[in-house]
Amino acid sequence: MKAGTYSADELRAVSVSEITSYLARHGWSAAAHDSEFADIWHREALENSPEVLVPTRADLTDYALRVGDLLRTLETWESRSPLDILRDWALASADVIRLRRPTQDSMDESIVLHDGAALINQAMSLMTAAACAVIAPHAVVPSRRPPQALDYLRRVRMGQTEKGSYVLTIVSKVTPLLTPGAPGLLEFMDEPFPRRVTRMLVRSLEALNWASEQTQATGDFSSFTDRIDDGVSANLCDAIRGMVSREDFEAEIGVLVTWSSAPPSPPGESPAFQFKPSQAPLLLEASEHLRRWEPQQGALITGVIVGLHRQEGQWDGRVTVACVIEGSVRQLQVPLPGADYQLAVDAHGDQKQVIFRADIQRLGRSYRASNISEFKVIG
Amino acid sequence: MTFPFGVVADDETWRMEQFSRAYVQAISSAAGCSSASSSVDDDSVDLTLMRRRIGSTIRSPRLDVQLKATYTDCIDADHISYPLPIKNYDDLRPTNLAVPRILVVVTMNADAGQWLLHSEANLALYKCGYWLSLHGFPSVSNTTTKTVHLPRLQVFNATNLHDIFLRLEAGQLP
Repeated sequence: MKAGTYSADELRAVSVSEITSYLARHGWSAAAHDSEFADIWHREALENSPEVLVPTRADLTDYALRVGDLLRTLETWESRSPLDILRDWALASADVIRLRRPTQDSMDESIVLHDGAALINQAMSLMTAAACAVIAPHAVVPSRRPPQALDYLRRVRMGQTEKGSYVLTIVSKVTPLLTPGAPGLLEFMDEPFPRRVTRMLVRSLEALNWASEQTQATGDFSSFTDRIDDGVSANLCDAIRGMVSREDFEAEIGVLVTWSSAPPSPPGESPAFQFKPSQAPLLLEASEHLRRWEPQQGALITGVIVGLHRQEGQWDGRVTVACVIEGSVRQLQVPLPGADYQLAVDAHGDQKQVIFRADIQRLGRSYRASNISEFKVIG
Repeated sequence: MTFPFGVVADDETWRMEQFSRAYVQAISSAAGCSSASSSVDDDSVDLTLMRRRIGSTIRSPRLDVQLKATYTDCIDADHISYPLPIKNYDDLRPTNLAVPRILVVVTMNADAGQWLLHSEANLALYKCGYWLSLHGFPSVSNTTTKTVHLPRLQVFNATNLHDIFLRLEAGQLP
């Protein structure tokens, strides 16, 4: 590449809405139509403002060239590197969630690799809880994630880390939905799913803070279950708790949400939240309370039969399965119809494992399965 | 004369490009246009010309220029013929452009010693540039070049470039 020139592929990847959102945010406004393919933008408030030509369609033959011209003008006008401007363009059409963690070493703004890996895992849990709550709020996020949430989680991106303590960025592109059959018309059928996820994340963090304050005052954890419809879940509690406190580490975490400035219109101010290590014990108890509240739905269970119970004269029975639940070996009470019970008896006799799907509910210290399906003997 | 003068070698076409660029920039300056090199690495545009509209604080029409230089005998009675590489031909004929494009072919002498005549009184550049808009030209099945014909009336001089910008200001093609 020659000095002062940019890669055409890189420029073609920038959308019109990303450019116009950026310009609008930086004090530029559309001044006139240049042609059916481009508008003129300028800085109205400034004398001797440069004017820039902004293409209105990305399928123009000279799209990359015009975006390059614009980038070159902004590079000079704003005294910034083109790479910084390109990154800002990309973020203009995305909701950005920043997880800000104090660094252990103020000199190089680094964190321990182990801590960074955990932070990424918790970030994934946070977004999973929000995305699943958009489809249907649950006290515990179902192990079978809704397809729309899974699709979103495959697309949401992790951006470059930023300076100013250690900042992990989650970039959620907000793509407007187009009305089928009306090409070129930006008509919003519904709020895009990524925007609904960001809204749910904000709502759930607000609700989490409210429930925490209420519970601290009353000692009653029902404040958490009262806010399940607002996205509060055991998984959300666990994600925040994992960010502020683990066995070997404690630190505050800041969560800052910046709305995309591209259509649809941003909901308002940039919400910010702060969670402290001192909140970890409460969040742990809240998580356990929420897990007791609702069964895990459709969990895939693998285990061995350690107990068989059938009343005399009954066809159906109940078995006890030793299996891993919430990371520990637990004993799960599983009611079975006659045919499956007979399979369980055989598995017990042959010392073989069983596998099945079930909803799991914690009752005090024990666990009970319901809605059992796909019961099979393996190995 | 010896190097740097004499016939330009095959691996010195950059000198012809530089000369043709200087020619276009000289004409542009005289016509009140500023010029900038292409901002993109793989486009068939060498220069973008821009001129502030007279009597208006807004809208500066632009013109993209694809430059070619030749010292072959290509001048006919009413036009010059130039074998344009097919990639350039296809890049110049689209109609969905935010900025119109023209082709400028600068004819010159093979001997670099005869490219310009310079004295305290003047600087003359040899020989002449011609322009052509390929807007809406048809696609062709050629695989290497497509010969295009540039009218000899369409000399790329300051007067004609001024007229081109008047048409652009009126929302017309070059």
